[in-house]
Amino acid sequence: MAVIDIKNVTKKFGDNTVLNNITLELNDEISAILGPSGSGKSTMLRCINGLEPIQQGDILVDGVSVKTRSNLRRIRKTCGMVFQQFNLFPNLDVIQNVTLSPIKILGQKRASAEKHAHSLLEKVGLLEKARHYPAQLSGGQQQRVAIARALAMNPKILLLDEVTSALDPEMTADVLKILESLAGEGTTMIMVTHEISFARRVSKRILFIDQGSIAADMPTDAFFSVDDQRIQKFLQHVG
Amino acid sequence: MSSLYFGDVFKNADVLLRGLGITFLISVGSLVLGLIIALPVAFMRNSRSGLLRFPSSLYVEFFRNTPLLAQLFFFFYGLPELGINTNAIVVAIIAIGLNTGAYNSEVIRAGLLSVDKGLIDASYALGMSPLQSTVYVVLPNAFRVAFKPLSSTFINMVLGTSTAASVTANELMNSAVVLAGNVFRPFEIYSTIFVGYCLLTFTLSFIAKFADYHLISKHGKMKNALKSSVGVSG
Repeated sequence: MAVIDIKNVTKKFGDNTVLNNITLELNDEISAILGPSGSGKSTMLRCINGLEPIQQGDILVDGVSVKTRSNLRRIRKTCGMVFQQFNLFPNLDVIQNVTLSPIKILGQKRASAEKHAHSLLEKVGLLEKARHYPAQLSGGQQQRVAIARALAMNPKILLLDEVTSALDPEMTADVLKILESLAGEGTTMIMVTHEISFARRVSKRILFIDQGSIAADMPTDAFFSVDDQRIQKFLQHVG
Repeated sequence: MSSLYFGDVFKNADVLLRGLGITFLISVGSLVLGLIIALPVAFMRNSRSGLLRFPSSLYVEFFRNTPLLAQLFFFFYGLPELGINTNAIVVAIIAIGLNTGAYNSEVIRAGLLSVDKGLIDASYALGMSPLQSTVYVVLPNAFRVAFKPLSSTFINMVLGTSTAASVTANELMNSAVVLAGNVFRPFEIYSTIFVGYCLLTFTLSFIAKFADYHLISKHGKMKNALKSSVGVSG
């Protein structure tokens, strides 16, 4: 069954149409959204958890519509999100970043939230940084904390918005390693990425977005061997 | 030619010390009032609703574009006309508090605007309500930015409390004027109150720097400072 059901969605910024009548279903698996810059990839991800409102159509997350404002908090608990710029809270240390929402929103006890946070930080290899502040960490470390923070809410789906685009190759490798192990555990992920080889390795399905429309939607293997000029040109340019 | 003589200053030290105490009282009162006013005004000035923006802008622009001394006179001589009788110290706290509140609200407003949109996105994506996002994310980070400029407006305000001397509040400046009139030692008396004001402001700015380091800078700014210094030497 589809966990995310996108129906005839149109999204505009002023007169500029960013998503043009998109319809697709995303399943309980790993999907990668590829496409040139400015094609609407990130916007689509941000529409799924309601960070961007849509003008037409509807998106159902686990059967719940983003069109009703009061549903949004429920949807956002279903979808964890990791951002390109990490967006850790600079006033809080690592453990506080990871436990803030479980304590304040899920009502967990501090002790159990911290216990969970410790196991997540261990998973991302940063347990020894628990008492550091974001500014004291490298970009790659910050992004790994951001992944732990998203996982701390026990989301059903993880939305990854170009999570390695602000990182150098070495840090990128660290972050991808963690995502790969999450993939191995069967976490549902929808990722917007420019890491083509990574997408090829872990995702089951590729969505290729071009100028606000779905230009291709196919299993990963098929995508990389398809005889389509637009896709071939894109793949050549990103290497 | 007469020589300097501080004997009268020492003899009347109690008067000056009481004045210093009242200066401190007016400062703290105005600080508290100013901060209580500034926070909601800052939110109102950033609001999308003109109904909230207009009165808050009127308040800020009035108090920032008219002299503090005139505001003090207005409250001290104007309020009794409306049947509100109150003492000079209370009037000073109200007038100076309203004045500094206008400046503080602009500092806090800038702090609120400086909070990275990405942090607000992240708080929403984690399931926070707008109120939770404001309380747990926006305010603490706005405060980190606003703290230093707020402490500098506070020190300015402490010096501004000397205007209360002109509406009979017996704070440090007023005590000095009265004393100078009695003992005719203006050089000694005014130089003594310079020391008094400096003691007050140096103590306050030391506390502010200490608090800034331990609450804010320790957790992050250090690294940026280090980076930029490496950049210069490299």
